[in-house]
Amino acid sequence: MGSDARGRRHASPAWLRAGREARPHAAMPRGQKLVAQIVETSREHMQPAFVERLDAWDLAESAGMELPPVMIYGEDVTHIITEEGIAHLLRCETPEEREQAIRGVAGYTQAGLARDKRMVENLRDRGIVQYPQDLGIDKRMATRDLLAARNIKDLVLASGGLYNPPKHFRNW
Amino acid sequence: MEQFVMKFQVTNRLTTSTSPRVCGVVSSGNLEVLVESGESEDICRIDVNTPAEGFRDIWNAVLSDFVERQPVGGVRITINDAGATPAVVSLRLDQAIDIFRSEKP
Repeated sequence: MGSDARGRRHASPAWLRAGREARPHAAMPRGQKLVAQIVETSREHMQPAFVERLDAWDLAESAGMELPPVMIYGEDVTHIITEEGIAHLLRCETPEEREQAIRGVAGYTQAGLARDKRMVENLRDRGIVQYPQDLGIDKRMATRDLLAARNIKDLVLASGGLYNPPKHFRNW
Repeated sequence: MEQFVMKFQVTNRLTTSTSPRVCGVVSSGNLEVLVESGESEDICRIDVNTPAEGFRDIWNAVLSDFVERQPVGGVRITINDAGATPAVVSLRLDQAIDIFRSEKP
């Protein structure tokens, strides 16, 4: 699932490009599987999605497991996408850069607030961390105006009358 | 329910002063932001009403970034929060300042 099976017979352009981005100076060209994690920095009730220590450690201890149960190891993750921005982890050159790239898109979680601002700005200059404005996106345009259907009436019209909303949603 | 006021010393003054403006709505995961002219030119006063208790540090971080990003000297802001995430709070604040600056009614 998340792990990168490194040998592969059939190359795809994305797999080849990720391989180039991850090892720009390698003598032998290789591919890399794309593992992109899309996540909101905070889940319900402000529970952070980014933490300094995984629950897997406690679980391993309480359940008597040999290892902390981890489904996808961090080193296999190539990109993290949050509402704050994109971290191109595969292009980080050191573990420290990787750490700061993750903190750079972790928003207002404790892990995000503990970022090294200068290092994140440096990663941003190199396009390893990208915020919406770096991609030419104006966040302020995120209003209802961009939705295909802005209200219940639009949904009824779009469905060609198939959608019959409950009475209390009809205000026209 | 938690209520608090934060005041920030700001050098960048918001020049266009228009009538009060509202952005966003009080609905789940959203918030309402009221922007109006304040008393002092170098102060940005922000009143926060939020149902979630115990997130003062995060509010402080979000609002500090906001006053650093926008020219908000001489502005008074009132927030009626309904459990919005920090990203939504930042977004609505930016949108509210945008609306407040524009001349359109």
